[in-house]
Amino acid sequence: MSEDKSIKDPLGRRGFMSLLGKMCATTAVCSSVASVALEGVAAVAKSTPAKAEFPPAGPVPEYDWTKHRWAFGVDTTRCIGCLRCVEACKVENDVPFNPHDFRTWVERYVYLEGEDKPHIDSQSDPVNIAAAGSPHDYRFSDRYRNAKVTKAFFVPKLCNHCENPPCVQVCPVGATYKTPDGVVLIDKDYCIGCRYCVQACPYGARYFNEETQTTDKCTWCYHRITKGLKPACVEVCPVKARIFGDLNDPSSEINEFIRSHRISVLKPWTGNGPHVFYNGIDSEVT
Amino acid sequence: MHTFMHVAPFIASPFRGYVYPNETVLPWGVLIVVYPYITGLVAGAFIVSSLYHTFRIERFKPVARLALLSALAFLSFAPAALLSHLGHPERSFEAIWTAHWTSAFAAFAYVAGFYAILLILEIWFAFRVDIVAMAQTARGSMGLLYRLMTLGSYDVSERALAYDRKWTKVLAAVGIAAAAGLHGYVGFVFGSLKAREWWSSDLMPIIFILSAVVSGVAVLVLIYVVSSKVRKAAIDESCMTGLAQVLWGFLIVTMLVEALEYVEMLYRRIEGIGMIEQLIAGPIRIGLAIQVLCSLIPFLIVTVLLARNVRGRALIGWMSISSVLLMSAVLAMRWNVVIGGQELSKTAKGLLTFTPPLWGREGVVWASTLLGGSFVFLWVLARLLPPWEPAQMSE
Amino acid sequence: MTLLAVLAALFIGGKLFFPPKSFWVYGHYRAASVEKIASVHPTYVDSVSYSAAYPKEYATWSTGIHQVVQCQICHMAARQSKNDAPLAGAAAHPATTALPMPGDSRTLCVKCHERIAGRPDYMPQIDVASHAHGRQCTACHNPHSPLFSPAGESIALAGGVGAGGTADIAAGKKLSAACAACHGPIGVSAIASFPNLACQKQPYLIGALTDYQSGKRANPVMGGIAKGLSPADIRNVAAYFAGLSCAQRT
Repeated sequence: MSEDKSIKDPLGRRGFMSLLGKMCATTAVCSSVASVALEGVAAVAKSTPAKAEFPPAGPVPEYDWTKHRWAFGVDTTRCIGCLRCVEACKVENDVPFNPHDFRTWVERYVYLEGEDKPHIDSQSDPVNIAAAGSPHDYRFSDRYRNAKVTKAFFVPKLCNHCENPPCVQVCPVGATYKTPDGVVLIDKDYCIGCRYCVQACPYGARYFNEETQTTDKCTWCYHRITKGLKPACVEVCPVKARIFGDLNDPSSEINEFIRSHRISVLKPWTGNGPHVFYNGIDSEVT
Repeated sequence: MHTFMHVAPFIASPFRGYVYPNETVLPWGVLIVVYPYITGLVAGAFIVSSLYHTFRIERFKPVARLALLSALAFLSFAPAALLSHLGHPERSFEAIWTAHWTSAFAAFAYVAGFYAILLILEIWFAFRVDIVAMAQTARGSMGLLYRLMTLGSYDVSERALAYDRKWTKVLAAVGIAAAAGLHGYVGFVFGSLKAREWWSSDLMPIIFILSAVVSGVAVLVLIYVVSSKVRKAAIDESCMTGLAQVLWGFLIVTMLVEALEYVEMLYRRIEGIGMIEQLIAGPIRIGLAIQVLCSLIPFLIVTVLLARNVRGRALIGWMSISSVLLMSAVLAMRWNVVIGGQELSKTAKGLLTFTPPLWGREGVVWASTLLGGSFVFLWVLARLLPPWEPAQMSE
Repeated sequence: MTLLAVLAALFIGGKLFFPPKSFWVYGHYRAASVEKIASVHPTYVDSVSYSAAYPKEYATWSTGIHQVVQCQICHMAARQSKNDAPLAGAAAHPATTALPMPGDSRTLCVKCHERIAGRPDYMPQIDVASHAHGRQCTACHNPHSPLFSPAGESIALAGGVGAGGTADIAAGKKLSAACAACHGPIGVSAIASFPNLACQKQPYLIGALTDYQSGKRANPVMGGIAKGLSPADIRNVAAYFAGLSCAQRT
């Protein structure tokens, strides 16, 4: 194996730089050619016959998604923490009935006398799971019955269907997306199950469904709202703590809700632009 | 197969304080700790090889081709870790056909593919003379394999060899950038997420690249020492000293930047700092102790080795010990970032404690198998394409 | 070089062939997925759908205070989930499927009505351990209209079934004379800090007076007044004011 020790490197520094330059130029030319080619490919893909089946009004029959802008409201002054919404959502949407996969959940904030930080629990707290008696059942336990409670309230949570969703941003394949009517959906037949979106959501709204091996989250019951119904959680709430409606309709419940209350959103500093509007939460609500 | 796919992942981690209900099952487990670790080994080994092939630093010649083979061996097993983790690995090619460019993960398929092609090309050029020689001498199926590998090029004239070296040099140079991209993107995956306070940092890509190089050089040292012992060949001391210098340089910068990140976080004391302090003192205290001690101790050792110009068996022995410690430190660092970040709840008001399962695809056994498998594959590659220079051949 | 060209060709070919047809139509996703998601059949149906199958219960329910509690909240609770125990035909024709009967009302009703921290005061709540000596809720309350007993009697919050039955409006009117000084002769108050009582809901007035009586709601004037009232008095005066017209406001 005759080797390089006897051959002087013919290149030298200038030669090396010129070669590097040529390499860069070639790479640049090749990649531009390639990207132009790819653009052409994409254009061809876009003009395929599929376009005819999918009109601008949206792919859902008898529903024009350009006409709606959905939003959700939560009135925490009314929520009684009955958890009917949590159960209804699981039944409606085939969510596994266990204590760690939720499309929506309820948190309780309890301030005790002499303390300025709240005790927070949800239906997934071990004490509450024990009180419920089975993993299929959800309730809040009566753990503060002997304590001096100064202030306490419930905060229902769900996917915020953000304006700039970080979960959509990080999906490597385009399996999650935001529709023109403002709903963030997941394509279960396309998701590869990498769980990057689960990490990216600042609100913990997403979970990994072990059965389908894809991620899942609240869809505002898209299959209901496109038929003129309300999401299941809104439908079953007995005290009108959840409000849903069309921002494009000035007389809708959600617009009425926004007009008549001081509204806040969760984690506004993230810049996500959430579309679930809360009334009555305080600064300790995470 | 079903048991392998589904057992263990339902483990919900215990927690204190308040965590979101969906957080109690950690989405990323040991496979995502091992994956950046393996790609880090790739990057580090490759940088050493490029020090010779591009910058012509002669003292690294004994390990240059060995480093290339190591890089390829580790790179081959990194995707296995990722594919084992995916819910639908059969759909993974979607990341190539419909890559979503706002996602750092989409970059992976392209960067890794580009880098793999580059690495294979560089290996081909660096080993071509030997491949040609073996194609002409080997018989049977091995002979056929070597003949295929020549890709029809049998020219071993001076001009052809110069052409080989030119290509190797350029590929090694471009490869440095590609390796930095390959591992930098992993750091970006974590650092760009505003949802996790433990990850969100501008320094994350830099820390990942630097610690990757440290781990890569350390593993190269160990591979060199072990392979030389097995082959009963001499270890080039000037090479070992060179590796010590590279290690020292990258290690001190790594430690400084990592320390900087912690100092800034603890200085700023933004909301949630109380939980971060509890995380450091709680679930990841052992991991952090390993990371810090197993970085500081080797740093001191290597400083002494270099300052006193230690040679001979002492040099090799202490470098080996340092390398083992550093590999542990970097693995601990990956654990602290990946798992620690998920143990800190997004509520900033709770902490989870993760215990990895033993079996199943997210289990410790499978992750260790992948890690060990890459070394086995390296052994296979070294048998196929012996990287030893003539001066290293055993007597 | 040829190798790279071959790889590039393979790549471009793959890009043409592999992506799903409905990708990139509206954005970086499959349009077909939206259609599929929207086509799922809803599980929860409007309670009106059950009015034909259960006319009597529906009539009671739709006029009572529980009309905000949809049928499937209590009746679906008897079933765990679509995954665990699919009801035959539920997806296709839910309104013709028999609603499952909840078993233990004492664990079902308390999910909303147990007194726990965090539940707002407007919500009727009970201390489960001491309420009704552990009897089933349905022993005293008609679940479709729980302010009435299963037999149809009104249940006063302060008193319970059998403690007096229906309210005596005339007696209530006599008692209300004492309220006029602050709350106005027809239950419409002229003073800003004293609320109107006319057409206020009876259970609410009963609850308020009871709370003043126990001191849970602290007010020196009302506390004294309420302490002088018996449970029957409270029920009667509350019924009187609840019956006054909502039309008058000033």
